[in-house]
Amino acid sequence: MKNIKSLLIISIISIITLISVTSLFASNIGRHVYGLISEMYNGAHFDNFTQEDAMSLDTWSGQGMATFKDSDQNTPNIIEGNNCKTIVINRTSGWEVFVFRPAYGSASNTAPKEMNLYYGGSVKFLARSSFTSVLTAKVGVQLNTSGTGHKVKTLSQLGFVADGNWHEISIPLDSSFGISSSDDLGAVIGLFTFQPMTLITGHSIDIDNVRWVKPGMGTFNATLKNISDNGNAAKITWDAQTVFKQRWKAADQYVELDLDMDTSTNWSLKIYTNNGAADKKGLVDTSSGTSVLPMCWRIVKRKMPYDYYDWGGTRQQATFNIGEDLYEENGEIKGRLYDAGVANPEPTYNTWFYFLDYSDKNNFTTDEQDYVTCWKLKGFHSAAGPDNYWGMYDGADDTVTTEGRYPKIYFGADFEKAADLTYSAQIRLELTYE
Amino acid sequence: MNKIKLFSSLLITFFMLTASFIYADSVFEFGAEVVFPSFWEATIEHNPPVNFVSSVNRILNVKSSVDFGGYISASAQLLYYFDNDETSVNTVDKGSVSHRAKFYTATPKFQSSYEKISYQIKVTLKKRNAPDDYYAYWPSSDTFHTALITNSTTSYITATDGGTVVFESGNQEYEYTKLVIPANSLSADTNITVTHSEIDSGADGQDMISKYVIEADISGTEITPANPISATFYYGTETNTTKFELMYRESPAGEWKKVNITQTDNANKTIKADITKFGEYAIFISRNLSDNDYRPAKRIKVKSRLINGAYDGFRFKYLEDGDVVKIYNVNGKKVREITAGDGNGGFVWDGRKDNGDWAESGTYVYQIKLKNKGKVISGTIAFVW
Repeated sequence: MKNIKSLLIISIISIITLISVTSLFASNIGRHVYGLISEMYNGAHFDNFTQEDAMSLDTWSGQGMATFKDSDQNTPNIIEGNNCKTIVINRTSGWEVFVFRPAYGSASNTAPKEMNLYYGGSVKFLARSSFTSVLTAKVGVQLNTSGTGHKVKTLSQLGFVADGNWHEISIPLDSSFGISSSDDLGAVIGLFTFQPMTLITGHSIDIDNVRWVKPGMGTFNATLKNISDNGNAAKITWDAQTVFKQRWKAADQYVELDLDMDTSTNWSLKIYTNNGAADKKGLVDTSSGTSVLPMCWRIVKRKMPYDYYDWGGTRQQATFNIGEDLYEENGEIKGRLYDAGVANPEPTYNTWFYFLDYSDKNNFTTDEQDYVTCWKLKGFHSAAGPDNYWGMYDGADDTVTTEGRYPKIYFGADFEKAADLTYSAQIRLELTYE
Repeated sequence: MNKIKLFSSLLITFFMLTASFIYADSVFEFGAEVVFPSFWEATIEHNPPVNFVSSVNRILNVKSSVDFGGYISASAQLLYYFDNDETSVNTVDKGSVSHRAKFYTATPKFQSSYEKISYQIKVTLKKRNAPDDYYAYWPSSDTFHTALITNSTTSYITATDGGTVVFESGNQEYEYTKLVIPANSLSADTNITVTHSEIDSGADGQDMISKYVIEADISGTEITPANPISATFYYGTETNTTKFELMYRESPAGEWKKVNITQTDNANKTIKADITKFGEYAIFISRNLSDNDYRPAKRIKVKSRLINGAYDGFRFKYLEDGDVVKIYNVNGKKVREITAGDGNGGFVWDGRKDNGDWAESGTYVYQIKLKNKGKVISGTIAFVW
């Protein structure tokens, strides 16, 4: 009895302690993943931060020995989103350190961040270089202003290979990195620090997808919502009277994606119909099961419709106006779906994708993989083609910081051949990571 | 005690680990559905309904809208209305409105013929190949809507609040005559009646096409000039819209005076004006007459045909009181002066002299002196025996 009583008391204390610990660390920024230089996650974006985070990228370089610059169209093969950062050595002497400060407004206005809940997790990033000189560069975090505040290791120690390919580097936020407890993460002043030590002019390293990750899995959610009021919806539907016998019409719902888990380079989100047969890649009549109304999907970074500027500076729109262009290729009639509401009406940027059925997934061609992959490390699938994956930050018109970055999947169907029947479909969203 | 310590630390660890392990679902499934029934209900709207038809022109022109869809095949949309004796039903057929597997909204207009005593209206959507079967009715399958024949409408208007008086003509294709009385425009609370009157004959060069009488039942009620009534007058089905004149007279015995038109709306066949007097308001079409419009159409008349009544002589048109026509022979001697019309806007020379004798066969010169325009129009005619 005494043991049970003690156990009960201890359990209660544990719960209270847990609650207290959680509230003590409530001011930690980010959720499960906090993206610093990243186009995948909500939170701090690609150096475009929110006032609430009170974060800015302070790239201080003593005596100008190195430059921290943005990628451009000549930067090859960026695998996370469409942007990365590059550190280039300018001179062979000087004292330097790059620090990713939690500074708000200016570098002198430091506001240390509580990052206690990340203890046991890691700071991860992608790095690429073909210069072995970078192997002696040190990366890590800066816990405080003391001399021992920098917790860093060399890239070589962290397993980086300077072979010109991207490599994922992980900085464990635990004792193996000199961080003895969560208390050490109570007032972090440098969330990512980079110290290039070997100075050879012209040598460089690309950095991307820098993020803090808490221990554990994190979450990924997909929620069906009504376009009209953003309330939760039970089904994907259309207004029968409006769409009857019409060509492609968008549904009245969308799926909102909320990514808060760390993703591998092979992470992807795929979408299919799940109607049990390859040819049932749309709405299927429930009586005979033989009549199929083709369906399509589209993923965008914010709620439609919206205006934006493309990289060429042209005003574009993301609209519900689905156009279809049929063309012949090798004697076969093919189709592509595009946004017919854009300023340039030609179907050169095909933003909608025909659905394919899950039962056929083992037979997909390379091209057909395009039709089922809606989001991956590279970004979300803005238009047909292997290069058209874009991150949440597109640089040209990044104005969505106030509404957060929750990509949305919209649906459409071709009702031209609809008859007086009931049609239904199952839509499957599948997360895959290897 | 050590076991308890160990267990409790394990328990704490368990709780902490549980809090940080939120496993994500790897598959999400959503259902999609749309239901297309075989037939959508067909509905007929007739709003606002025709409640009155003007006795002056008796045009019943009904606008109704029909919504129907799905696999529907309708042969006609019909307007039913009773004849004079209220027993036989006539129909106006808008013809086939067949649509298959589509959604359709129609707004047909029906027009009945004139001179009906009363109107009982029903609008139906008739099924094809089923002559006695209908998709929809308005107002219902077994009732009719009454449109009263009327020439006036009365509304009680308070001076403080103002209000609107609408005279329904029965022609829903166009706008109704309407008075908008602002607050504090009238000097008294009163019934205001708008009467659609039969037109008078037109003056020369002007045709009256519509006339309304606006009256207040409180004698002496005045309209504040600084706060006038905004009047919209439906002018009818006139298609010559080159020039309207709005004229006002206090009573049938009074003189017509011009009222400024503030807006002409040919789509709705109305003109608008601000009015400050009760009385008669008439809309005229003013023609732009050329000299030739006044001249006789025929320049040669034969005496024998005048005698047998084949025609009545040389007709000089669009003349009014005060105008003068003088006939001169080739020697310049006046043989006839005509100062009065025939009651039909025309002055006629019947081939006789002022003394009643026949004029000699020959060529004559005429002079038309237009009083209001201050001009003289001349020409030649031939009177042949």
